[in-house]
Amino acid sequence: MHEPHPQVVAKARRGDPVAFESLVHSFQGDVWRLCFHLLGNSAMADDVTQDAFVRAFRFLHRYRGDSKFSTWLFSIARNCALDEVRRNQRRRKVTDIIEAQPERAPVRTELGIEVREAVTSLPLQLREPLVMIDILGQSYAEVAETMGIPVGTVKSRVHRARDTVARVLTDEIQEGNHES
Amino acid sequence: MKADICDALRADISARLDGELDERSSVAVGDHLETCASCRAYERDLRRVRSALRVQSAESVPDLSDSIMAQVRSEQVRFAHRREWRAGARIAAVAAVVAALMVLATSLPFSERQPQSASASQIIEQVRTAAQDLSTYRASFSIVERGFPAQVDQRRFSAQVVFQAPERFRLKVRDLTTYPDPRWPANDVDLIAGPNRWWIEQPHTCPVEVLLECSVPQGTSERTVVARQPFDGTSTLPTDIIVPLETLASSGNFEVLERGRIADRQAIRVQMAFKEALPLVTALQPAGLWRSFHPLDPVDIWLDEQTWFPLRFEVRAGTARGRSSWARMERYDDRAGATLLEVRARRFAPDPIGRRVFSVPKDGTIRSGEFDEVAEPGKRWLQPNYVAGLDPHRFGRTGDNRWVMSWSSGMTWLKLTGTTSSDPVLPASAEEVRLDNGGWAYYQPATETLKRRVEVNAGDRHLYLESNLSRAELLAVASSLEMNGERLPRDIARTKKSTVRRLDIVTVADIGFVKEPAELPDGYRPSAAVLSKSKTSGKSITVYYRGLEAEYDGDGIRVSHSPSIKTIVPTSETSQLYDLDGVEARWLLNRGQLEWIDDGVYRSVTVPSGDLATAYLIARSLR
Repeated sequence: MHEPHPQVVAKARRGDPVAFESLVHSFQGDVWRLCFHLLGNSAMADDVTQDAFVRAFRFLHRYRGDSKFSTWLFSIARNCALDEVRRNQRRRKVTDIIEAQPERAPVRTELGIEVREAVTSLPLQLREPLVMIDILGQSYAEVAETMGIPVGTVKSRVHRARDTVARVLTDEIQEGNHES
Repeated sequence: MKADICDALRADISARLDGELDERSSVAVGDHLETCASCRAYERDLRRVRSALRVQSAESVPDLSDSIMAQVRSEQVRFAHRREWRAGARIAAVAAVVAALMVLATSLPFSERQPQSASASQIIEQVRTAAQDLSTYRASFSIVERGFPAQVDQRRFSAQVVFQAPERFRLKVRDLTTYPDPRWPANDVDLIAGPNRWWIEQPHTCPVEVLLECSVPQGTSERTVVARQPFDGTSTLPTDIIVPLETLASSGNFEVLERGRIADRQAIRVQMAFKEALPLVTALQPAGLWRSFHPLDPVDIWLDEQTWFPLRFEVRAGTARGRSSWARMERYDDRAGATLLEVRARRFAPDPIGRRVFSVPKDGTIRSGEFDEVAEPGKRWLQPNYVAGLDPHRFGRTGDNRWVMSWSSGMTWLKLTGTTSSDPVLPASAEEVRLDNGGWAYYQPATETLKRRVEVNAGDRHLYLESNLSRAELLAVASSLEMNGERLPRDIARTKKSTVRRLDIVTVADIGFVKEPAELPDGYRPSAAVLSKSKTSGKSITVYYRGLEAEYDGDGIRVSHSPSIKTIVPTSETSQLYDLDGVEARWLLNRGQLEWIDDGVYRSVTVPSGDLATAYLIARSLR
């Protein structure tokens, strides 16, 4: 993960929108991916990504450099996404919304679609570390800090997540072979 | 049996793909894979999932930057009064190498005065007097900055400053550096401030060759503040460049080195740490991109003995413990003792200044301070009976229905904000003070952007005083308010699982596991203590030590004690281990925190701006 220069963060902390915009450019892709995989829906990921950056801007003065900037930003994005998940659970099941909304297709390959679906079907507690490690390239320690769980738990959860996705893919490939 | 071994190793196989396994386990997994076809197949499956996710992550994502920035900008207007926007970067320097000082000796203020004595306390008193007497000033400086960016040997600047007390200010900084590439932006900065309006223009970008993540287009950005509140810390007036009032009178932590002559002027040379000299050193850098300094880097200042105008100042690379790791983190290659910044006055004079000089543009991003000025204070506005001899300045109301009154004389000012609408929001480290009138008040020292502050609360009325007067004077003003401040509730936060409670600072030392540091930097003393209790993390006490008058580099020093924490948990943060007289202590560079376990009690010392030397000194005195 490419960290921003400390002076860029320092300027953004002082409220400089130009510096903040360069942080947006650097991190919007990863923040969007995190939101997309936690929510399973691109329109919701758009909204939550925007919300996460606005919150980051509002609370940037509280960022003291205790952790990497990316870890701090992803924690905010994660919280925004989880808030959204909770809000939707209260209203109706997230899956209903996913079906109801037109979906932009960010994934072209067939394997990609299968992987995405397999990831989306994982329980949230397994999906989160998998996305943060495999998609955002975070270390186990960073994920542990963001999620507030021990490093050993991160290790076992990411393993279980990969194991589950691997099984789903293997089953689908086998089913596909049977059909053909 | 073999299946059991395989099952046991599978989480390790996964972690090994991420490089998260220690060497010994990694070798063990490798050995097993060589002999086990089933685990090799399993590893292939996991690898496939991993690479599929990574391929997917390279897919295009929407560009949301325009809509994000539109929201951020509207957010900025809404929350403008809360932000401590300080356009300028943290530190910097500028100046011509061969800057001959050309002082206009014929037009100096106070020139009839006798040369003044040179003890620190007398300097403080005289600087305070000079700051109250000053009305207009014009000065120019040359600046040389070294060590940033790495591709440039040194950067040179000229700076012009014009000031008319109390709130008109103009600064023009011009970058005279020849850069390796003409596309590098010149670090030119313009700031013009009047009482109601404030405007700044600064380079829009940073050199992409130096800061690769800096992907914004080149150009300049402008911002304007209209309907500006008096002495609004978010629209800075760096007046310490005229008389270093905050630098000298706030900290008192300087050493008088010698008297001598500079460019035919009788001068006094004083020395202090950068963290104390910040208002002066950064005065010429309210915006733009400048290098930073370590908090303990020594700063030498040559002051004109008659006017207290800074004739020259220099920042050198210090040798404090931890400075080299700080420099690595900031990407500087400073040689110990090297001069990093040199600022020399070329001219200064108390010339009369025409109003047009302070004609403030209204361009760029415009935000409103939402200050509605009135000629007279409202009848029901509570005022202090004592205002330290300052004259009435500006009165008005803010958009969120607060009343604001201000008083000033020369560079010295006092501001009172009152409200009946919202509850006070005070940091736990604010010092509880018993005023002479018997009421309670909460005091905080000056920071980089805000001056000394006192809050007084009674019922639904909340009064907030801010000033560059000394702490004693400000408390005297607070005591003259016809309102007896109430003590805040002891409980700061309380839930079923945890409690955070303010403790009486005098009784904290009686708690068995709390130790008081025998060493603290000059001017620091205990200001507040907080007890945190929770079911999961047990009990801990944090004692805040704060500067009496000012803290420019952070929110003071924090010492925590906890008998419930038994081990120092491994971290992925950058850390170093130090020997603390026989006990291993861990230094977390980004947090500025030194922590260790001593006789079953966890202790940590947190200091501002990564100042390991200070943390180590305090920690040793706790052992």
